[in-house]
Amino acid sequence: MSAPPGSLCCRTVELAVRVLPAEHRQRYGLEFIAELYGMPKAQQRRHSARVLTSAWALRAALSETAPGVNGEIAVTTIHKPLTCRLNLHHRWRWLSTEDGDRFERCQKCGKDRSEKVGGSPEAGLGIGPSF
Amino acid sequence: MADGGPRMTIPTQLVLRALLEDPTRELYGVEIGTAAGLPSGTIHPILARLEGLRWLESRWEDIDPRAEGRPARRYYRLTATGVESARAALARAYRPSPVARMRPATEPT
Repeated sequence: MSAPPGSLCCRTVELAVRVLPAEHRQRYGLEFIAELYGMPKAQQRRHSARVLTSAWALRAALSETAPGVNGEIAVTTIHKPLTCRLNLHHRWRWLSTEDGDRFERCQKCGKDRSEKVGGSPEAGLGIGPSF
Repeated sequence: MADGGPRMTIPTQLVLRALLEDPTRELYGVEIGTAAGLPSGTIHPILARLEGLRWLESRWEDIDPRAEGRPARRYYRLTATGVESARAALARAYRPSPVARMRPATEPT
């Protein structure tokens, strides 16, 4: 028999799931409560507190992964800076491929410099380094 | 997508590595957190993102809650696509060191 979670932990989880989109609340509420069973009381409190503090991140994750989104982009590029999105400024860094070719990639958004979407760097606002 | 692949966050890499240790094994959230070395209660955003992308699948544990004395847990497992994609993404994962990130980008002469 596993120790049931305390009422404070249950209320904390309840508060956490309120942040989530309505269609996900029941599922995550049940999931979080089930995870609390069998934990020592102190761990239950820590766990439920962390669930609460990561609730907004969970909400964002549930919202951002719509079907059809490229998997790797959504998994690995959580926040793309506005200056990168607008192609105004990138933080270029030289890297090497496995076969030794050199290329430049933005450290902030992962864009390769050869990808000239929205105009060449020379034609931009002149914020980033030019060739 | 660039040839070298995008950067992955360290927690995402840890979760994927933990799941890839035995891709056929089903784990619930706390077990995944423990295997990944991450604090319990913090990995659900990662799991949700991976599940939304079909890299992970989940199901409710098939138990009798009265007999077990606890509710059913939600178990996660990598999908076949997820195994391949995770391996490829981890192989390409790149994260510059803090020192390198602070250093201004330089171009070879």
